[in-house]
Amino acid sequence: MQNYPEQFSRTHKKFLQNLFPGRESSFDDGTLLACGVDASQRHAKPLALVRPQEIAQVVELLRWAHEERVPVYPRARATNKVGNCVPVRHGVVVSMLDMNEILDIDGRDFVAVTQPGVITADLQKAVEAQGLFYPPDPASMKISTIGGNISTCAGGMRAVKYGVTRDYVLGLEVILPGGEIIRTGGRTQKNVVGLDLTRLMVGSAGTLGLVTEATVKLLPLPETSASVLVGFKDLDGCLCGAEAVFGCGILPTAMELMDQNTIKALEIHSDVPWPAGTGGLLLLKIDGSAESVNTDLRRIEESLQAVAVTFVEKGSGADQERLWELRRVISPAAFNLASDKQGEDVAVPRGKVAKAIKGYHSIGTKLGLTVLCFGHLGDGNIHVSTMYNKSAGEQEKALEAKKKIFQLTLELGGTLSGEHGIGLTKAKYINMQLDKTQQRLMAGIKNAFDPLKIMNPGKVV
Amino acid sequence: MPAPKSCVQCGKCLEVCPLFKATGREELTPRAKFFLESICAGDDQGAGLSERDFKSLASLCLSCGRCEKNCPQHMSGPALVTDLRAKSKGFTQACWDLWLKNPGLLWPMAAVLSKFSPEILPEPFGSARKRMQALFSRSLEPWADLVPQAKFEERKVMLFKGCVGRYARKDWSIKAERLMDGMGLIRGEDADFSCCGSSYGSAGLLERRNNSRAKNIEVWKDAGRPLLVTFCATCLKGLREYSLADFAGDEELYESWQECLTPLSSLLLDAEVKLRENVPEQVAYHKPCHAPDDDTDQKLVGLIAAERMLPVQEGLCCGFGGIMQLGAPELSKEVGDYSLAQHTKCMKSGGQILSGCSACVIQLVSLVKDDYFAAHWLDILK
Ligand SMILES: Cc1cc2nc3c(=O)[nH]c(=O)nc-3n(C[C@H](O)[C@H](O)[C@H](O)COP(=O)(O)OP(=O)(O)OC[C@H]3O[C@@H](n4cnc5c(N)ncnc54)[C@H](O)[C@@H]3O)c2cc1C
Ligand code: SF4
Ligand code: SF4
Repeated sequence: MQNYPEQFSRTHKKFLQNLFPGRESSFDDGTLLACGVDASQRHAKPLALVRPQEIAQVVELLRWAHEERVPVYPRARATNKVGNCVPVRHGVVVSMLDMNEILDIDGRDFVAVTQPGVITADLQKAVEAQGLFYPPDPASMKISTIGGNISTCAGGMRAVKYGVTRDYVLGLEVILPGGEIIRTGGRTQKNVVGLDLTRLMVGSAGTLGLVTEATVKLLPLPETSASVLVGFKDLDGCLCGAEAVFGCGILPTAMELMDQNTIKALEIHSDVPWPAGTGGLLLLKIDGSAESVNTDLRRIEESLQAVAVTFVEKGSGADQERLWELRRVISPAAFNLASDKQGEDVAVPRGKVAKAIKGYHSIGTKLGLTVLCFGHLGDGNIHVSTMYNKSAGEQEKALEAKKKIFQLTLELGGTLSGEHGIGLTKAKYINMQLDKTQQRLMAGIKNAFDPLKIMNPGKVV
Repeated sequence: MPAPKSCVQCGKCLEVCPLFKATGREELTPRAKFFLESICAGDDQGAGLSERDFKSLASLCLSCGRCEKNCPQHMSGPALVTDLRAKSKGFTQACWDLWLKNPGLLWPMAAVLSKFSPEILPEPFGSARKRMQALFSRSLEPWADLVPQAKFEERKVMLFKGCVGRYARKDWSIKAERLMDGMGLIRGEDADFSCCGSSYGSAGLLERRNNSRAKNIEVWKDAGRPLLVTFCATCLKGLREYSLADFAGDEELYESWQECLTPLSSLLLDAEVKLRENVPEQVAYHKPCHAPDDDTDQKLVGLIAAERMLPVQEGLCCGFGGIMQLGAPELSKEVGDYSLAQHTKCMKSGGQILSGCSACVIQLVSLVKDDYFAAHWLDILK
């Protein structure tokens, strides 16, 4: 393993303090520890925290870090769940949160240009005020940044119809190790010159360079939307319901599934609208013009008549947020079932979802653990949460479940992660999915960007 | 509120914590507080964090309560801090203790104190009176009259003035009582209520808090359980937080207490409003962190200011933060300045920022720039 500094020399520290004066750099224990943890709950302590205010500082920082072989850990709101922000090789944590201005919203080019620290929901609000639309909507959109979303290629519930972050990034400004600035892509919707470095950067989790500006594609804001929450007796009913909706020729904006165990967790956590005996839920959203939404709603209702439902609730306008809030709180609500959670966000081809979920449940049953399945039925990205109690020594069993879940997923033609990535927590499973050749190519790409391995070392993308 | 579990580091609290909003410092967030707590308690012996450093970082909290409301795990920053303070006997703590023990002299100093570091704390004590005058010299001219409707309430009513109303802004109490009289309410004899207890609580002085509560309950019972009218959102919250245990498990008494607590503004929503010529062009309402769900202060200010009222901005904390005034005055000021900057962003010169919490008003008055005014809504009434 490469050697990185365990301590900073006085010169190192002075350099950082000069480049990041006053509050822009910190070295005290409390601050360093606090910026070394993320939503994976893993943690490590860096040697410094810096908070760049402008590009010139980032350039100078990466020039210096490259020269001194100092690890650089980009950090935004640290909501990623795989340890991508954890400074396992110490070094410098670079908080991008102060670079948080929206630089341009252009209704003629249909683009927005933004700094990375802008909260995604704030960007959405700002473009919506001008009749425009930035569709990617991770459940964490109010608490995560556009820079973080780009670096993890965050996906949300609207992915069924609109795709994920990668589908909206047209151009990036990136500072490379050594301090060079590159501008990939641009403001055009089409661009086929050269290899697609923009897409390469998206989802690279801070391992290739630091994103300092992004140009994202916008759409016209759909006039209206409506949501329907439908309850079924069990999972089979739920999947039949989903088939029926797709069968009537509608591509919903979002189609989320919640299984029986998820329902149980929500019932403990929140006031829920469905009747007892509901064993599966579908949450649908459609958008478009007022007329088309009305027609689609009617068609959905008609298509569901052939399926046995326990309840149906519709919402439109602001009222539908009530329904979606239930979906957003699943992650935390799951802790009502056990003190520890091992969450996977595997994805399988849409036609394999039923088989996958049944398989995951039976893995849980065999090991005596509760397995929750919920998430993006519409695009096959299922969140599988294995709930266990560490204090009761169930960790081993949980790890076994993880491996089996991954195996089954890959057998069904799926992928280990549809949203959160590999990072620290899943690094050792990467060989299950990527063969030697692919890994060699990827290592070559990493080497071309970051030969000295200073960008987010210790992580797997 | 269900019992807290443990922090899962999801980061939802960063969305609401005013300390983080104003400073951008992650180490001040509830998420950081709980993380540092967990590693201090864990096997790795704090991983290089001394207990003192942990406490001084973790106790930087404005007790606004937003984190708890927003946290999927029901984690409460104020509960952590109260607990820490209850166990610590530091200097700041002692100052606060002294301060609260002498509310007559010291309460109005809250805002002024924020300009001093604890080391030179004794100085302002000497010139309390002078500074008090400075704090209230820029009071605004009343611009509205309220003609309240008669209320047919058979029960006696009493005004719970709170520390500020009792010692510093007696004019608020006088106005409040006049309004109560105007509604034809039967006012009980002035009684010797103690502090509502909330400041003691957040300072970790649990025994003193409990004594205050006991005293207030006693006074209220002796007066024949009158309606208790308040004009301070923090007092109201403090009084509402009394627990069944404070009533020795007497559920009937507890219910009756809860039911008696009445914000003054809730009695004035049907009053007739008459505006004077000096009515300001724009009015903002500063929503206190401790405002109840049904914020009748906001409704009343909206009613009086009507089209002059700017849209209410949620989520702004004045930064008063009780004990933080002593421990981290610059931080308290930074949060206050941030709030005022948001309030006055689209405000013309001469605009007024009104609130219904004594602590917010003290803080805002002391920080507001010369072009604007900050006041309690009682101040605009003749
Ligand atoms: C409650 C909850 C719900 C979630 N729901 C979803 C969901 O629905 N879909 C989904 O995809 N994810 C979800 N996530 C995961 C997480 O929110 C996303 O991964 C998000 O994109 C991370 O954004 P962030 O601002 O927190 O970035 P961080 O977590 O701070 O950073 C993420 C990665 O990006 C790197 N990085 C950050 N900024 C830059 C930059 N400017 N340049 C280079 N690298 C950078 C970091 O080094 C790190 O590797 C959820 C998380 C939580 C806690
Ligand atoms: S305190 Fe609550 S909201 Fe904040 S990170 Fe922890 S669990 Fe999430
Ligand atoms: S009470 Fe308010 S200031 Fe304190 S940690 Fe919670 S949100 Fe932050």
